[in-house]
Formats: sequence, structure tokens, C-alpha cells
Amino acid sequence: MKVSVFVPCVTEVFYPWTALNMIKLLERLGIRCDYPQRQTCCGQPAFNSGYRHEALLAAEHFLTVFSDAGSDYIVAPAGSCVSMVKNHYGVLNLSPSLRQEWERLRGRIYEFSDFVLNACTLTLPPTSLRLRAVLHRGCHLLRELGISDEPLTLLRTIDELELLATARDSQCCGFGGTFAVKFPELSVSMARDKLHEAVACGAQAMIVTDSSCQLQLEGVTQRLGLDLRIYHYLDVLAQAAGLLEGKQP
Amino acid sequence: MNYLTPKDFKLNIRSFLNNPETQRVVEHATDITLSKRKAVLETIPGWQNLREQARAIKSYALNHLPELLLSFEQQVIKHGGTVFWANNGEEAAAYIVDLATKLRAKTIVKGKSILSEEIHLGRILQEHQFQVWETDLGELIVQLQGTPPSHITAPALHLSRFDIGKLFQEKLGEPYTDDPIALTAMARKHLRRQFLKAELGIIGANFLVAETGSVVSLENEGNIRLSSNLPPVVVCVTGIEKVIPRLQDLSPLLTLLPVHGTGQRASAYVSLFQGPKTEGEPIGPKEFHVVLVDNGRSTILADPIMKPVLTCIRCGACMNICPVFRRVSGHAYGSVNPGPIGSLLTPLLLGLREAPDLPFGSSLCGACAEVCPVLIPIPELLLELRSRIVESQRRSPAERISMALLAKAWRHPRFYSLLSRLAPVIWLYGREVVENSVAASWTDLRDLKPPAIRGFRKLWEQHIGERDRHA
Repeated sequence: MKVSVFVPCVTEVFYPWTALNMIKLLERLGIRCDYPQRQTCCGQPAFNSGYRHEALLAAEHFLTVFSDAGSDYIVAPAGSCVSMVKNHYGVLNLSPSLRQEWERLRGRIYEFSDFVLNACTLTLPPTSLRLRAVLHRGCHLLRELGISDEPLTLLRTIDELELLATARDSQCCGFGGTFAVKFPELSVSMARDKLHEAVACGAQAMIVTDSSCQLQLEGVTQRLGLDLRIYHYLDVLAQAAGLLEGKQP
Repeated sequence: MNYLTPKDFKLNIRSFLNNPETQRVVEHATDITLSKRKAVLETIPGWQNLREQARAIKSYALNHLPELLLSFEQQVIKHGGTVFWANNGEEAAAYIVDLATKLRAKTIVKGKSILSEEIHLGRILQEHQFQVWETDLGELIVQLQGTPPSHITAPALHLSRFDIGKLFQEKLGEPYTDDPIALTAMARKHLRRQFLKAELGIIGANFLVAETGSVVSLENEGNIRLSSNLPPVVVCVTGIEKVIPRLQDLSPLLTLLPVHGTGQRASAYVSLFQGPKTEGEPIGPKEFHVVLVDNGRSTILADPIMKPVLTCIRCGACMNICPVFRRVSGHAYGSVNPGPIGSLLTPLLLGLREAPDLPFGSSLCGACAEVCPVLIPIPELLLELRSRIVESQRRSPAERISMALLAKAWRHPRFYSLLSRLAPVIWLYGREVVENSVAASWTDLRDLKPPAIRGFRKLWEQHIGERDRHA
């Protein structure tokens, strides 16, 4: 089984260790991955802003790179980018041959938790990490890919990780791509309410499923001076499994 | 009248975001409806199948709209009613003004109708010196306040009972109370007088049945029954997209609409109006008119991608769940149709230029599509409108240049990797410049995480080195 990883742009620039942690977790499960070096971005920033021609250019490149890689599966640490490829490339003006390529590829691209639990039916070995946290379910993983409890299932393999239930765990963090900069007040207000709820219920951390939610929630946490850490669930899993070298996520 | 425009959405939201009191009221009210919805749905096995049925009924109707409307018209005429086809709001309003003038009507009672708000019917009738009374409690409240409704199923959603107490004291001359039951009694007392006086009743419709010519109406207050039975003449003003083929098609719709609209298993009153009073019937109007209004709908109908927007049954669930609506409330949208579905309907009905920011005012979180009882893919359609706006309108040079630059980088891996390696360097030497220019709309209100000094490619090279050593 050949597995290629896709590293989204936000992960690459701001949270590169999250992608590496994903790779190490996969290796721990006996899955060796490769990283196609010519990969760039899925094109969602342009698509989301209405620039379909620019998104098409990214899609063409993505499909070419990952078809050349010849992998059985493509795994990414972000549901949003996976959904872009899987669900939205179809409305772009792809050439007939690339459209065929897309039809073949869209069934083979997975977000990590979906890949491990549903494509491979593997389980993570039990680990331990003392942390009291709330979960933030990223919108596109939850509602565009329909992956609701998989990250939670993986996190539950961690002993001593206390996950608190909140009313807003499925509410959007307010990132929304260019929405965050087109409507900054609105975007920040959405993050603020979630963060205050997490702090109020006594959480030490909010665990997210996507790097872009992390960028948003971390930025607002810091500006507000809240005593709350924002972690990607892959970083938490890697930390608990002792796969992290050096500093904490 | 305090009419905001959809063109100013970006400006409008600022004042609403700075109003925590209204936000709290809206959040509280929408939370109650959402939790009731959830609880009731748990008692309806297979409700997900009902959504698919409802969607199929509404799309079938749209695909056969001309023949269904003609059949509806025939049936209304057969039952002794009159049908008027209005191309737009002006024609519809002119017909009703004309009717009221001929009747020498002084008082007009109105049931809730979103379409009548869309075509400003109440305002036009008042300009013609008719006394128009909204008889739905929420509608009456916003009428007394002089504002448009802020939600399609709960027009006064943004007001607390304290606000309403003060309003009734001021406008109806009643002693102040914030007891909802007492306030409702005041409204009832006031409205009963109008019902008995009214020479004309105006109602809307939730559905029109082509097979039987029935106007179907759901309500909880009984005011629509009074508006449509007590006055000697009744007009139903409604959009052409409301028609469905058969009486039996009502079944999934009558289940889904109240659950999603108000969190009820069923509405208190479901009425099927079929023409004027016939011999032997104790009450009912002498004349029954139906005004079928297009007002931009046939343009949406002819748009194969946007057509599903017309399947909307106006339950308002997408508004209740929307994190944007819950913060800015309905008035910010400057349109009778606010929230996610309104961000589609408003630009489609008024033109993209009249509401250029609405389709962008969504984080595309997808909560709206998740609750929509007729499965309208709202985020996908918002994305489609965004692309149409980018194609048809001038965008800021900064936006065009950054998109072109990104596209260049996405196609050229070396350039892309150079940019990602440069990011921490730029941050190191130009943080302030970046924070005050290109990233200002991010950093004004939140911190920007510094780009990682060692990007993924570096980490990967190191990892491969270690892996190979171990191998």
C-alpha cells in the first residue's frame, strides 16, 4: 500500500510539525508514506473567494502531481482541504482527462482519522496524557466530509485525557478562509464566544481538527490574553504516544 | 421607517455586533427553537427520508410550474375565486390597492406574508390612506415599532418582552407589563376590534395545491383564520413558487415546516382555503382573490444552478443556526429574507449589484445546509454567487494581485516553496510592516502566529534522513 501525504498551505507555513506528527503516527501503525515534493496548495483560498480560474490552476497542478505519485491513498491533516479536492473540484472547468483523473483520485483522498479508522480499520495503541480539554469539530470535516466522531475516537485512546462536553463544539470558529479578513469583527466574535465557553468550563486546552481553525483560535486567544492552549488533535496524539521531539505542540 | 439596504451589509453588521443586548435576545430565542426542533425530530422516525420527499416534491413542482399554476388557477375559478397574475410587486400592489379602493375599505387586516414585505404592500396601502393592521403578534410588534421584521418566522425575534412592554405602553396606551400572557391579551383586545371592522383581509400562503386550488396556511394564533373569514373580501398574495401538485404532497411538508420553523410537532391551525363562502357555509368571504406574484422568480427558475433556492419553504431554520445571523440579527441584511437563504435570495431577486457582500458574509460552515428541511445546498450556491460576482464586478487591485500571485505560486512548486521559506524571514525583518499593511485586517483584532522558521520541507528532509539511518 502506497500512501502519499498532502500538506496544506496553512500547515506548511504555520504548523509544519503537525504534518510530521501525522507521518510519525502513520509509521507507528506500520504505514510508510511519501511526500510528493512538487505539491502546492489545493486552491481553496481562491475558490472560496470566487476566483474559479485561479482555483482551477491549483486543481490542475494538484491532480497532476498526485496522479504522477501513483499512490493508493492520499492522506492529509485537514478535512477542509480534503473536502475541497473531493467535493468541489467537480464544479471547476477541468479538461476531460483531468476530470477522469479527479474521479479516480477523489475516492482515495482521506483526512487522517477517516483514513485510519474507516479506510484501514486500524486502532491506535493506548497512550496517556494528562490534559483537560474541549474539542472543536472543524466544519468541513464534520459537515462536508461527514466525519463526526473519528477524531474523538482516536483521542479516546489517550488515558487521562479529559474531554469536556460543550454546547458549541460544532459551531464554526469564524475562520472561513477570506471571510476572516473580509469580515474581521464577525470572524473574531465567532471565535471569542467559543473560547470563552471553553475557559468557563475549566478547560486547559481546545483541541482542533484543522490547522486553519488553529490559526484563528490561537490568534484570538493570544489577543484576548486567555489562559487556554490550542492544539491540533494530531499533535496531542503524537505527544501522548511519545513521538514528539523537543517542545510541546 | 428604518430600512437598511443589503448594499450596506458590511456597514450594517458593525452596529449590530456592538449590541450585545440584542445578540443575547436573538441567541436565546434561536436556541430555544433549535432545541425544540431537535427534541421533536427525535420523535419522528425516518424524518431524514421526509426531507428527501419534500425536496423531490418541490423540485418536481418547479420543473412543472406553468402547468401546475394553470391547474391551480382553474381550480380557484371553479370554486368561485379570482386569480390575478402579477409580473412584479408594483402590479400586485396596484391590483390590491384598486380592490381596496373599489370596496371603499377603511380597515385592512393582514395575516403574515413574507411576500407582502418583499413588495412593501403594507407601506403602499398605508400611503393610499388605508388603515392596515398586521395581525400576527410578531408582525404587529414590528409594525408598531416602525421596523421591518427581523426574521421570517419570528418577526420580532430581536426584541425582549421588556422592549415589547414599553412599545405597547407607548403605542397602544396600555399600562406597562412584561408578562407575555398579558401582552398577548392586549394585542388580542386591540386586534379583535380591527377584525370586526375590516372590509378587506390579506393573507399569504405556505403552499398552493394545484389539484384542488387550495391555499394552505399554517399558523399558531388563529389570526389568519380571522383575517380570511371575517372580512367580506379576502386576497391571498403569494409567490408562484409555492405551488405543489397534489393534496397528498402536503404530508411531508406539513410535518417538516412546523418542526423546522418553530420546533412544533404541528402548527396549531392548518387551514385550506378554497374560494369564497358557498351556500350553506356559515361564515367566509363573499369574494376570494389570489394574486400570484413573479417578481424575479422566473429568472431564478431559468437559472439551472440557482433553481433549488426556489424550493425553500421559508422555515427560517437556516437563520436560527447560522453563527452570522445569530450575531448580527435580521435587520443587518437589509432585506426581508435575511440569513443564509436570504444571502442567496436577496442578490438573486434584486441583482448582484444590489447585494454584493451578502454571498461573502458566510464562513461556509455548512450548518444551514445541515438543517435545511428541503436540502438546499446553501454553501455551494453561495460559492457559485461569489464566482459570478468576481466575474461581473470590479474587485480591488490588492485582491486581484494576491490571487494572481497565489495562482502563480500554486503552479510553480519552486516559487511556492520559496515563498514558504521566505515567510519567516519576512516576519523577522518586516513584522510591523506586514501587520500594518497586508495582514492588517487579520492583526487588527487578533494575533498572527509567526511562520515556522523550519518549514515542512526541512522537517521532512530531516525525517527521511533519520528514517533511512534506522532502516
